Amino acid sequence: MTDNNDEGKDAGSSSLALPFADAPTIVQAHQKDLQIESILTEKLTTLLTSLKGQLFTNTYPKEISIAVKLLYLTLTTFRGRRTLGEEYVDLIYVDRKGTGLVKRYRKLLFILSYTLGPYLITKVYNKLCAKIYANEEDENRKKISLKQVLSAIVETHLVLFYFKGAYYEISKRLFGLRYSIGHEPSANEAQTREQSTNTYKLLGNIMLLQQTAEVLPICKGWFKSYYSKDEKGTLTNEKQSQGDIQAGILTRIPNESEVNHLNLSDKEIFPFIPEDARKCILCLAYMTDPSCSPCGHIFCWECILDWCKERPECPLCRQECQIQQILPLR
Amino acid sequence: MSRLLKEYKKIQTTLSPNSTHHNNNDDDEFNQIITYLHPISTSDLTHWQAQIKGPQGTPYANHEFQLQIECPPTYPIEPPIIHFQPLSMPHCNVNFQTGAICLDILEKQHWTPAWNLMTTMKAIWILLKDPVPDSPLNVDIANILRVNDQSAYNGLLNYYLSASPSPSTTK
Repeated sequence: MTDNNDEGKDAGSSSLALPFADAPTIVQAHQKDLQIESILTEKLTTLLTSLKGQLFTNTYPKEISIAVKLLYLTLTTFRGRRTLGEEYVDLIYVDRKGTGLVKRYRKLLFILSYTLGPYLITKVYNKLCAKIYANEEDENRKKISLKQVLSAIVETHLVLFYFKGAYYEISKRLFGLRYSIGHEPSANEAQTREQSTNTYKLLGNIMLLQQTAEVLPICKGWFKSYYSKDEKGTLTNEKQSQGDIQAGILTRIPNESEVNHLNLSDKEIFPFIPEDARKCILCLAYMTDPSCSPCGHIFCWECILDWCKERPECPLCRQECQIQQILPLR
Repeated sequence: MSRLLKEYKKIQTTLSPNSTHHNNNDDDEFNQIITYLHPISTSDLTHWQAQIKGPQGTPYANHEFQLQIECPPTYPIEPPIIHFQPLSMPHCNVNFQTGAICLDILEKQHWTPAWNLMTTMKAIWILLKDPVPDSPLNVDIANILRVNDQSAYNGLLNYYLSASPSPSTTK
């Protein structure tokens, strides 16, 4: 990282190479591109609605926006043109050293990883989760920390960007697509750029602080569990995985990411419930966290809770059903 | 909203015209009650319209009745708001001027989210079959029913049903 920056300065001072772009300019270009993409998404959605109907566009909003990104970048970056955002602030792609242009295959790799990468990762990740859920309780903890690691990587990358202003997207860092400014900035322009770059560094500092504050307690937890494992073996391990249950008392409300949701779309969960009874009559979808009312009817935990706040009776048989009487099945 | 989307899909398969689909009696029954039931525009699933068939063996037989359905944002926690087309429905539990329906399950304190739009249509159809003169919105018809004057009842209803303009020409 530091190497890059030094070389960048060299390149800037030499007469032939263009100066590297700074963080605010890159963000400006990115925002312009986002705006264009949202316009395109809207148009594509309207088109698909008239072709395939509202249901289709409601089901695949993510896929549509990915298709738009792919289309936009292929038509601009891959063809060797600039995107509208890059044109707006006069940016061009250069290689890591800032001395040459970016090869085409790198651009292609960047486009594919930038558009499809996050989508595929979440898909694979969800599949893995589902498998792990079915297999072992203990593996659960590893999976949660994997999620934390991923988000930590993204945040660290952002902090790096705020400090160095080199790569805004991780995929650009991977394949070495850096930005240069396509002209020699005037003295006035250079001054304002430097000022706003400093603002971004301040932002980076704040984010760094926030991250440290988040990471420290986790590290402390690992440290503790590592030592207690030595002493008591698997017993404490089990306690930890139960979401801070100590001596049967829940010490805090667990985060959404720590909750182990049961979904009846998975046929291996509660196989004794027949297929025609696996859907919740309230949301009409496969039950999430099936929960039982005192009369024996089963609903999603959230659905039956929402209803019983309105009126404490079973939606099916009208028998009294107070919120505290509902039992989640495990 | 996702619940309404699921209901819409279910309704589409149940009420689809190619009846080879219908493998169970429930589907057949709904098809004999409901002519159509769909959102007014597919981009807004909160406003629906429906048409139900008058039950055989009543003065309503061989007539069809339009309904306007409005689903509140809190649906299915709160019931849908359902009206007959104004000035089209002579029935002791329907306000003739406004089309408002007096039916317990459409009221907040008796509704349960286990009902859906199709079963609600069936409930209204059953109300046509078995009017309840003890909680009337149309007092005249309720009074005739209470004294059990069948010929007056049939005559009055036939008069209304044949005289009332068909739903398409109503303003």
